[in-house]
Amino acid sequence: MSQEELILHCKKGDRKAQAQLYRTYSGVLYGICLKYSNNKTEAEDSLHDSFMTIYDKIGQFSSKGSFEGWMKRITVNTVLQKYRKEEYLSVVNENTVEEVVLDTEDDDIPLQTLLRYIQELPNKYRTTFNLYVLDGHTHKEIGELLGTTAGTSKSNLARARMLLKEKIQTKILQSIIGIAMVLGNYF
Amino acid sequence: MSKKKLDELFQDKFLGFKEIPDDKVWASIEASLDKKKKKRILPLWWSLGGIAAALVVGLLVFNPFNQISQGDQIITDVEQKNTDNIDTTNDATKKLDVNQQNADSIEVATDTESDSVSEQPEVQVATTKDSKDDYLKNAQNQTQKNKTIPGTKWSKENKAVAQSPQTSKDKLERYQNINKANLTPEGDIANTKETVQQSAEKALPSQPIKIDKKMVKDGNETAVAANNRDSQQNKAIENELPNANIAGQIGSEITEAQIALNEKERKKDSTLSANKKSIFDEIENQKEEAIAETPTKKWSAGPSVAPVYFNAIGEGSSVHSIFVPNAKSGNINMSYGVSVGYEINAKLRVRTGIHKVDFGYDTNDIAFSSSPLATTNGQIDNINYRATSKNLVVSSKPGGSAREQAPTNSLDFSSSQNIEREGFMTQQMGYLEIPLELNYALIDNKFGLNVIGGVSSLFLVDNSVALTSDNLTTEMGDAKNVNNLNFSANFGLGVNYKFSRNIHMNIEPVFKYQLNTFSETDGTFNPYTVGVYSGLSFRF
Repeated sequence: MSQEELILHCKKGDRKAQAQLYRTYSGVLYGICLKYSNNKTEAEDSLHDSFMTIYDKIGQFSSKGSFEGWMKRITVNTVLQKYRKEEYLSVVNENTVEEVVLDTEDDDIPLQTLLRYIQELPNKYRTTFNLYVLDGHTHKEIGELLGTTAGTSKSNLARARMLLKEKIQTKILQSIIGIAMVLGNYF
Repeated sequence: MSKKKLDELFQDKFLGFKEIPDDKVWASIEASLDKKKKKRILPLWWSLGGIAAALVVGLLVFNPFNQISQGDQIITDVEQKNTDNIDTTNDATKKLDVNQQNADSIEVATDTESDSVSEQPEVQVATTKDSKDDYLKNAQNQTQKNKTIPGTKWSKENKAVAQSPQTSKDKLERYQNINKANLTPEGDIANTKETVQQSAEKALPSQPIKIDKKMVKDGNETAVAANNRDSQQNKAIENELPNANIAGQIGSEITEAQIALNEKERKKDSTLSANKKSIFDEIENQKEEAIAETPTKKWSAGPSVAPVYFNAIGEGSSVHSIFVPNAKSGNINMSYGVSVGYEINAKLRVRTGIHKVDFGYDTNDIAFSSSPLATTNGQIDNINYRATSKNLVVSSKPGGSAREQAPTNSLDFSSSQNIEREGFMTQQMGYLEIPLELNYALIDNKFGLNVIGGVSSLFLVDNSVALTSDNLTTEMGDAKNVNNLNFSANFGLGVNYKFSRNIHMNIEPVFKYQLNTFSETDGTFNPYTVGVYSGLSFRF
């Protein structure tokens, strides 16, 4: 079944087509949910809600744009919806650091660990970091998406980077200590 | 040692990140989809119910049949009972609103309510005779309880159900807990226990499926309200009281519930649209939405009213050649009627309707007098004179009189001696207009712009010529040369404002060139009308 046929059948409410759509795209969309959510359960809830919205609104998708892009936007929006009501106001720090440099070339941190670090961030830092760094939105766009200002977004991003850096460096430090202890025991 | 940028680290790792979700997510989606299918029955049920309720309320208000006085003790009792119940419905609705912050929850709660309402008869039919009796008995008990206890007590019952604690995080356990929670409150709620359980079991699939706690809770709560409402109805039917008041109250109660539902629907819509604002191509999406919605609602109808200005192009007169040089001034009359439209596609709409419209214009600078000789040779051929105006002689100040143009008459001296009144002559025509127009949308946003083109058939229903001098108006008669069926060619522009997807306001200046208003005219007299048609249109 081509993508056009799949969409057409989904529009008609064909359950088989809906299942196929889910099989095809649930991986990518679940990835988004995981990045933007606190935990697995929340991500699953968001994935459920996103697919319900997709099935409901698929009739409104015009074949002009990317279907996957359309679904991704719905998913991001569904997750953000949960956090939008939260207070995003914080003191705007104009001297935000644009680039945080890690004092290591160790990039062998497992994806799941990085994911956990992201999920552990407070909601406003996590959403801002995801939107800016991973999904390439501008601060102005993020301000609109989250109902705040571009300045707040910049500030949140800087805080997110700092927290992530701390987590990574703590991990590296812990690893070094761990290795040192192992070596110490060995000798 | 090169230093790695933090952003790059994450970007590299999360490039094309995907993870296969647990199977239970699809199971819960499937369950939600199943429910949604059932929900599609809802609008029909509710619209039929709404119409029925409106009729009953109408009957109640006008009360054409009921002879029983309002002061009757029994009726007072019934009214009290039903007021309590309405309060309960409102109370339940309020709580639903509080609980249902999430738009999707609202949707599902509505869904569940429809399930329990629509499936209630199935439960009755499917169960054995005994259980059916039990059910009816329960319903009866409940109704009696509602009668005797004050409304606030019933509200508490609802609260007891709504606030039953659910702490388990596991979703299967949640589902089971909810059923248990519904069973635990004793005493007042005991009678509803069985029906609640039945509808809960019916409304939810039996296999362990992830279901949002909030959704189920709301659903069951609504089911309680719905069951009790059913019980009320059963009781009313059982007692066989053909009292319009009871039916009316139940009807209004349904209307109340329906209004609450509509409000929730609206709230849901606004929440969704508010959320959508943050999607970058929100505008595009809304366009898509508008396009996608159109196939479902192709018809529209609504009232229309317009001031219509009538005048004619060219120097001429439809009444008589003597009036050709006279100045004419168009009059503004009102047109009112209904329009019906059918959407051929997103851009093109064909529409018709029926409008009552009056056209009128004045011929200025005329003089008229009364003469016994008028009947013989001073009359205007194009006019059927009234009996009361047979002696009227009308002349044009710039154009002279009809008699002067008639074959020479030696007795004209006598009439010329009469006192002439100066004034103007009004020709008035009333039509029933049936337009057939095409409406092409140039802009179709919140504000829309259309071009309109078409033809109208106008059926003559009123025709008169009157003379006015100072404040005195004398009716002369009716014009002979006005066609009973006239056509016009219509061109116009339409501006509309969409209050909602279904309610539009239109303002349409339309020029209508009248093709054959008169069978004969003197000089060039091509009438036209310009009307600014404004109205509402409702899509259905």
